[in-house]
Amino acid sequence: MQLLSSPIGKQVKIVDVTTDEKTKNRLQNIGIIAGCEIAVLQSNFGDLIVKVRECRVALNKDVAKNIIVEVRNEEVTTDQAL
Amino acid sequence: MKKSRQTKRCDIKVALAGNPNCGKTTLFNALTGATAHVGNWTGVTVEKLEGNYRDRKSDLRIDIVDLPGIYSLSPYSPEEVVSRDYVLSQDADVILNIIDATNLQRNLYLTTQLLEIGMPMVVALNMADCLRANGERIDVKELSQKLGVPVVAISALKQKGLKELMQAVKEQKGVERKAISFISSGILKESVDEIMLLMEESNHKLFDSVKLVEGDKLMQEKYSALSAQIKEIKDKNQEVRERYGGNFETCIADQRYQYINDNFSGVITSDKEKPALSKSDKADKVLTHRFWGIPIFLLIIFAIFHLTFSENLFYLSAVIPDGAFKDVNTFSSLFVDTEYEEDEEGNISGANSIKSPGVFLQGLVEELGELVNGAREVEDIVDENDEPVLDENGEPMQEVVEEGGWIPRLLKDAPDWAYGVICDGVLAGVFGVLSFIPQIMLLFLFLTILEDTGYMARVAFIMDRAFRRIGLSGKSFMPLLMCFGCAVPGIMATRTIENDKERRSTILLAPFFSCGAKSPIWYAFAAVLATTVGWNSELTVFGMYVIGILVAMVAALILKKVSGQKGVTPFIMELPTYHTPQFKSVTIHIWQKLKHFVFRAGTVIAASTIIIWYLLNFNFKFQMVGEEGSILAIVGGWFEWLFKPLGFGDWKYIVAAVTGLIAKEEVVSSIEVLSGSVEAFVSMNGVTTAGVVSFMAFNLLTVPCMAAVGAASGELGSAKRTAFAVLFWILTSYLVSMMIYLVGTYWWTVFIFAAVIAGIIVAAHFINKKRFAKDDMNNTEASKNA
Repeated sequence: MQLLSSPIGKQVKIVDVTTDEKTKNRLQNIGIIAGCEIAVLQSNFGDLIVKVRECRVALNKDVAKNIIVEVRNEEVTTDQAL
Repeated sequence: MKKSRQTKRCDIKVALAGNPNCGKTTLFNALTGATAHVGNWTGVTVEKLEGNYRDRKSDLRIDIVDLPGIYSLSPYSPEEVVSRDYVLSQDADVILNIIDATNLQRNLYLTTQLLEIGMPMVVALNMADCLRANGERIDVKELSQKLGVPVVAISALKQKGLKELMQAVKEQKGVERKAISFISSGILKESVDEIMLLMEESNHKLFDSVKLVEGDKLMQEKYSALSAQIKEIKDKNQEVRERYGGNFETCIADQRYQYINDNFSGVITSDKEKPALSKSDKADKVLTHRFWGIPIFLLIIFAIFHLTFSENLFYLSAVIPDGAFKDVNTFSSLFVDTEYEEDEEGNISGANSIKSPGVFLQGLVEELGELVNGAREVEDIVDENDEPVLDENGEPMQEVVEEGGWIPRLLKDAPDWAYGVICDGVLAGVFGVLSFIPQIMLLFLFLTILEDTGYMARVAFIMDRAFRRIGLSGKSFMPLLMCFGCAVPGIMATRTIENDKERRSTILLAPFFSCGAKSPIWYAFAAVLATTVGWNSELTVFGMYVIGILVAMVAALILKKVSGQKGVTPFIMELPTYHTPQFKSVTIHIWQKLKHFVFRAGTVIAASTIIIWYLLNFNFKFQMVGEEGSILAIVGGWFEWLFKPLGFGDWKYIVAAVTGLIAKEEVVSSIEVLSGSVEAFVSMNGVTTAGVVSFMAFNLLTVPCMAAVGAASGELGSAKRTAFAVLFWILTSYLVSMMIYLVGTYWWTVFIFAAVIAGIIVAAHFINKKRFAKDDMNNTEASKNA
């Protein structure tokens, strides 16, 4: 699943980042890397604000399309807080 | 004598490194008291900043080099390369790494890389107090133990723990520290160790070999002699191939984060469950909302412009009776509008509005200008019949009716040329520029506050979508918006745009956004057009702004296509937690800008005004003549033919436009000098309404004032690029004005122009497509070969 279509507020796990190398490196540096957990806080027509390691990051749609995530097995959502 | 020499020497040199938005610049300011700015934009400190801290007790001087805010020591961005080159050069004695306790894991990503360099290091743990407020605790001792370097908890904002921090730095000087790496075990250890065996002894051997395993391009160049052996070693590593598809870069990043996660998650303990959404997140729910985000932003911007430029604060004239301020004293008139009109029945209208802070401050500076450089006014002496009284030579006799400011009074007996060059040339030009300062600075103040709170990063985010379509990113938005106030701060603000091509395009578009100084031109001409052809003057003024925006959009599209930029830079931006702006950082920032601007007004701008004043008052024989026979008039005459297709081929129009280079409000004042009034100017022979509009558009789009050109040249960084920019502005203004004139005169030409523009865009599109296709083919071939 693309990060783009991940439900808002749900903790998901990144399985792959399929951008070009340079973008991938920038994502890595800011903490977005395969294996880490990420939650979409907000989506503006595909542009996202995500929470990753206590840090808020804005990503545009092109980037969000190329972050592949999966829903974790145990259902932990932050829906109540929203 | 001896002592002063001693204090000049630097005892310890410290390299300050850390993530953006971790309080690094705040710490730098707190330690050095120097004039560095704290901003929430990623990468605001692109230049190298230095300052020093003095230990009062021991009279020890610690020099601090503020490295740019970076997330990593990879070779991709210039900030990262600058930082790692500096640290590796070992110019500094100690590395001071500041980390944000509220975002520990991400910050340690850089820390673990710095630890791979065998240099003394101290970690400043910032914002540990914020953690405590959230009911979390951080074990500083344990952190220090695990990192193997001293860790000092500080609060850069409250200036706490700084002495202890500097004490730790002092103790670390000269201490031998062995480089350590997270790769001390795991699947990469063997590769790193083997590569290290190939190298000569040095204390960043470990760092270099980790980077070589990573496939770091700069490092590979440095060790090009070893490339075959390194490749062999890396190829041997089966595990990386299996688990990471042979991608060592991803492997290292993943392993590094894994290591941080495994070793440091226990350092922070929490008493209570953390809320899923922080206060900052809740604010973002509203401020970056997909529908409300933009309206809220527009409201904020409107408020800022209102406070800076409005003559009618909060529209209070709606409740204040007409004429309320018509008799106030001179001092009070700085705050309120005293002008009013009286009709035949004695009804008074006007004199009932309060000035905004910006207009008040501007008035203050203008008063000051009047005091220093108020013009000396001379009138012909007339008799009872209004006939001039003549002296014995038959010349009309004159008397001084207004003594003028200090300088004109001092120069009472000076020759005309001296009076002219000082009062009309230098001082008029400098005061003209100075009179914008209050409003520019106020605008800057508001924008700095917005930046400091963290809101600006959100603005870039919400505007990104619209701007991507025309080849810019959200980060171009704020600088361009500032240009409506003044292009100078706007152009300076482009520094926050990372992508060079985008930054340069943004600078090129800057003058198209009609600045405050251009508005007098629109008002003056709109008033005349209202009487001559009956156009609604407000719509005329508004129309000029629209023309500017439309031209900017088309120009951005064309620039995008011509420069062959493939897509836009991906938008990845950290959104810092909102916080209240800090008085100190805001004032330091404003003060820096002010210094810069006043310096420019005193040098470049003063010099250029003298030149233009000279050209406008002297002929080729160095004789002082009026504007009519001046060099500019003569040269302008030569170029009349050039402006015929634009509909204003008259030297007076050309001269008026050229004087706009000093400052755009000069256009109106020189029109008044040349023709007596704007009305007379417009009703000149052979200039049609279309020609007048074309002239307005020309002034809007052409080369901006010298101050803006200076700023652009500073940001573009080379004379060649500046020349290109000037040429671009001249060409754009020429073509658009011609279009307006021709379409205004022969309406059907609109189809020709539309076709031409569409043609350019389509042609560029296809040429690029071909170019990209070629690139892609080369790329796939290259990857196949690899």
